[in-house]
Parts: sequence; C-alpha cells; structure tokens
Amino acid sequence: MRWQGVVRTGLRLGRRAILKGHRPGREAVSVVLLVLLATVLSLTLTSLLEGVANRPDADRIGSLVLGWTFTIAGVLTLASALQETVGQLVTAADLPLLRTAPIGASHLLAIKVAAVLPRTLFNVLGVALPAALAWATLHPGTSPFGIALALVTLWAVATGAGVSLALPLLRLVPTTVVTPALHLLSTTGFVVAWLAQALIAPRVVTAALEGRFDAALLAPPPAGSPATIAARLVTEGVRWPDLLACLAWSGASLALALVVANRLLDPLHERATLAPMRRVTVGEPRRGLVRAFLVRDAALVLRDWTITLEALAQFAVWMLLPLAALPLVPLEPTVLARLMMVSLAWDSTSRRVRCRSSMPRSPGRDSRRCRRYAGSCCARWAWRWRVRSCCWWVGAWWRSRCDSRRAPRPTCSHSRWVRRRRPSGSGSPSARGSVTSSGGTRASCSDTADA
Amino acid sequence: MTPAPLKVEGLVRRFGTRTVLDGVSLEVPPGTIVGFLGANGAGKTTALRCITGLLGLHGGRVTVAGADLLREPTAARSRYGFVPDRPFLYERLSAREFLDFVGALHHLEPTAARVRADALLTRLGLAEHADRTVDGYSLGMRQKTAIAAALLHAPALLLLDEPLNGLDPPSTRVLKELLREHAETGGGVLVSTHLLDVAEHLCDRVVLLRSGRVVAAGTLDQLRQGDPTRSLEDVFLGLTAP
Repeated sequence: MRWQGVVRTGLRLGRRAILKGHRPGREAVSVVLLVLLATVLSLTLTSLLEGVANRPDADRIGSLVLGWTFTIAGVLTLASALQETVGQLVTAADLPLLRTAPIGASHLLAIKVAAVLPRTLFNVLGVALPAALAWATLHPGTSPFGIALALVTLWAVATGAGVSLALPLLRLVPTTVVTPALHLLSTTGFVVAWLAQALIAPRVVTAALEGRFDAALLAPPPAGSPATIAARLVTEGVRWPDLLACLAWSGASLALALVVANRLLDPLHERATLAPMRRVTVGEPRRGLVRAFLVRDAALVLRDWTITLEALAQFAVWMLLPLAALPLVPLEPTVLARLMMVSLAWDSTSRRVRCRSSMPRSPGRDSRRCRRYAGSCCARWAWRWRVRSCCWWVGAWWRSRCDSRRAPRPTCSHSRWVRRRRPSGSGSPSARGSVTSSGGTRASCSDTADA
Repeated sequence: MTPAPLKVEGLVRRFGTRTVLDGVSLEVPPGTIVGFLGANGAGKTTALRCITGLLGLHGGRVTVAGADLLREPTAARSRYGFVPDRPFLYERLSAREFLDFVGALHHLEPTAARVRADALLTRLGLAEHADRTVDGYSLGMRQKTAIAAALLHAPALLLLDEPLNGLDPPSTRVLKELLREHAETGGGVLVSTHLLDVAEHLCDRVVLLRSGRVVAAGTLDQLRQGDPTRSLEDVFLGLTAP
C-alpha cells in the first residue's frame, strides 16, 4: 500500500465532507460546537484555577482538577472510540473494497483509525486541551511538548482500549444491538456531562472565587492511570519516568488493539457481510393507504425493538431534564411543559441529523437505516410529501385567488404558469384580459405544456 | 508453466445448518473467459465472495494465480480484480481520484497508475466525466468506474458479478472487448451472469451451478452434447430445472 495516496484521499474526503457535502456546512457545525465547548470549558477552568491561585495548596488543586478533567476526557474518548469502531471498522460501506485490496488487517485498522480521527479527537480537543491551556495561562513556563505528549497519550490509550473492547463485544453481541446501545450510552454520558456543566461547575467556580472551595472534597484521580500521568506531564514538566510511562501506556494500548484486530476483524467482517434473514409473521393485507402506512410503521418499530428502546429512552431523558432542574429553579407548569416540548423537538431533530451524518454513505444502506431510525416514518412521510405539498398548493391557490380578484378568470388551464413566466411588462390586468382571445396565448400555453 | 488464474477445489460454505456451496470446483485457465451461470439463489455471489476472501471457507481450497487464498491472502488479493454486484465508490471523490486511491491500495507507482487510469477511463467513455464527483453519476457510470478500478492493476484474474448491470449497448460492447483483450494477454476472467446470450457470445467455457453444486462445466459445444441446434438456454433450463 502507498500511504501518501491513501492519506491524500482521506484528507480530500474529510475536506469535502465539511465544505461540499450533501448539506454543506452540516459537518462544520461539529467544528463550531467543538470550538464553543473548548472556549467555555477553558474559561471555566481558568476562573477556577485563578480562584484558588492564592491558596497555599493551589498547585495541588490544579493538578487534581487537571487529572480529573483528563480522566473525563479519556473516558469520553473511550466511549467515542467504541462507537466509531462499530461504525467504521465493522459496518462501514467501503469495507468490501478495502478487504479485497492487498492490505493486511493492521493496515485496515490504521486506515479506519485515521478515518475516525476527527471524531475520536473531539473529546481530547474539546475537554483535555482547554484544561491544559487553562493551566498554561496561569503557569507560563508550561512545556508545549508536555501538553502535546499528554494529549497524544490520552487519545492513543483511549482509542486503543476502545478498539480492544469493541471487537470482542461485537463477537458476543450482534451489531444491531450494540449500535443503539452505544448511542444510548453516549446520550446518557452527554446528559451527565451537561448536568455537571450546568449545575455543579458554576457552584464550584463560584465557591473558588469566593474562597470557599473545599479541596478535601476533590479526591485524587486513580494513581498511575494514563490521565494522571498525562496531567503530571503538564503540571510538573516532562520527566523521564512520566515520559516512559506515557509511551508504555500508549504503545501497549495500540499494540493490544492491533492484536485484537488481527484476530477478530475477519470473523466480524464475515458476520457483517451476511445480511440477517428474519422470518416474520405477515398479517392479512388491509385496505386503505393510511392503514398500509400504519401497518408498515408498526412492523418496523416492533421488529427493531432496540431502536424503539433507544428512541423511548432518549425521549424520556430529554423530557426529564427540565424536571431535574426543578429543585434548583422553580418553574411554572406552563413553562415546564414548554421546556419539555422544546427538549423533545430538539431531540427528534438532533437524532435525525446525527443519524444521517454518522451512517455510511452507501445509498441503499443509508436510506434503509434512516428509515429505521426515523422516530415516526409516517410523520416524516407526511411532512415531506403531504404537509409540504399541501402548503405549496394552499399558497398557489391563495395566489391564484388574489389574482382572480384583480383580473377575469382565464379559460386556459395553464394560465397561472403562463402569467408567471410572462415578462413583467405584459403582466398588467389589461394585458391579461386579452389573453383568452389572442392567438399568442395559445402559443404560450402549448409552449408551457411542452416545457 | 503459468499457473491457472483461478483454481477452486471442493469449496464448501455453510450458513448455519444450510449448505450453500457444496464441493464447488472450477478452474479458469489462462486466456479464458468462464461464465458462471445459475438460477437466483444458486450460490453464484456466495461463491465469488468466498473466492475473494470476503467470506471464509468451511472446506476446500482457492488458489489465485498460484497464491493460496488462506495462506497468502495479500498475494492472492493482489492478483485479482473484483467487480461486485453492488460496487462501492466514495461519493465525494471523482472517478479519477477514486482510481488514484485504488492505485495506492495496490501500491502502484502514481504516474503509471494515472496513465493507466486515464487510458481505461477513455476506453470506457468516462474521460469527460472523470473529474466530476461520483454522487452525480448514473448507475452505468458507477459500474464503469468500478470496472476501471478492477482492471487498474492489470490483475491475472478478473472476477465480475453481474458486470453488465446498468450498462448501455456501446458500453457493453466496450466491456466485452476489454474482457476479450484481457483474456488474450493471458489473463483469466470469471463472469457471473444470468444473461445467457452474453454468456453464449462472450464465454469460452461455462460453469453451471444449481443449489450450490456444479452440475455442468465445459465449453459450449461440450454442453450441447453434439447437438448444435441446442441453445445455451435449452442447456441451462434442462440442467437447472427442478
């Protein structure tokens, strides 16, 4: 394999995904969100560290905060790597192409890890980097090499562990169950992080700024963990034992992922290649279009119970968010109901967008999965083809009604198209009045009909 | 002596308790186009997936141009080109960029790969669209791109699963010429198709599959059993009728 060509193609695909996708800018939203998240976190942590800067144990508290932030970033990266491994390493649409090319499992793993790099890096850049920058802002002597090494260690360990965990898991549990389960896990993790950011972080920062921060409440992160060592690289500078420990953790994690991939990728690919054949009970055919759609939706929802479960859980989680905030902020029932509806709507929208963006681009597979993942097929269908077209027709009817009040009703069935396409100078009521009797009108009608 | 581009011996594949391929043996000699025929569900696509290594073998042996698929998988994969029934292309790449990528996967020298890709694209009538991204391509254009990708590294063996899907008559003619030229240079071609007239006019040999077993193999004359008035359709229906 020629690496330059493969890397160039990967960069090309990434660039076009952001700039020239089916919906240009959709992927760019992730980048904007990342920058926003990083900025907010960086400002929060800077305030926190500034708040405790005058205390005698300021450095210890800073190390603890950094250690915990790195631990959270590592765990989030691990969850992300698990999810991406399932998506890219086992069910991606381009796997048949890559598997029939003369490359080994290690090369395939490298290509796929590189392909998911932006997504697995998201948490490292969005959580760990702002923490390191907040520390560096208050400690100008911090080594940039130490920060870079810490971030690379976090990414390598979490990604390697994610791959090493995901592949055996997929051997035990079918992909169709693992995928929604991981989506559920990531949603729950995001909710927990959101609650922590919204409820806990402001109190901690306020307490720190007012000098009431109790460092005893902050337990030290697990000693010897990659996150703790990475935090030491930032806070205490690059020292040989920490450097070697980081390299050992990263190397061991990636080597383990390589070994697991070499052993398990082929059987997993083979299983993914085989489309599951399910025997289902088919009921009596029913009359009527609406009933046909309802029967279809019921079959899709009941047969994909994991997806239904995921949808229900997400609805519950998001609708419960305002309730979770009730003890802190008393709300009127109407405001509460509105918040819950907004959460529900946001969830429906985001789930659809996320689903479309994370699925492989194979047309058949894409449409099939989107159809399955849609919360309500009927609703989508109705919105797309019925509500939208109804709106258009109502608008067209209203326009024609307004026009007919101003001018005599033309006899030609294509008249509104003729009027719309006619140059503006001929659109006066007097000109329209002569439409039905002039020979030019017939020509216009036939032209339009031909067009 | 040049090894046969493809030699399959006693191929067995099971899905659960169901045996889909039961001792399939076939050979594609150098310079030969072999048609792989069978009714729907006979096991043609499964056999091709086993030959390419996409599916594992439960028995038997596959040798591609002298390289054993199980013992030397990388060497075996470098010696065949494969056009699946539903080929994958990156939607956001142009045909030329896609061929560059395939060339990189096969470790081809960039300039040589580009020259070869341009020649193939011109031959297949895709040169003027080669710099447009694939998401705007028709089914036939996608198929042509996949065929160009399979031929890019000049493999000893060409495996095609329903290659004429979506191709217009001129492109079908060009593809037939390309396959014939490939065979004339000593390569082997295995074409899975259900179009009997294509098999009759294009293939030197035919392998008939029924319920995962080879029920007939040989040249068209051998299959007609000395009766020149019998068409391949008669032979096919006679051998695959339940």
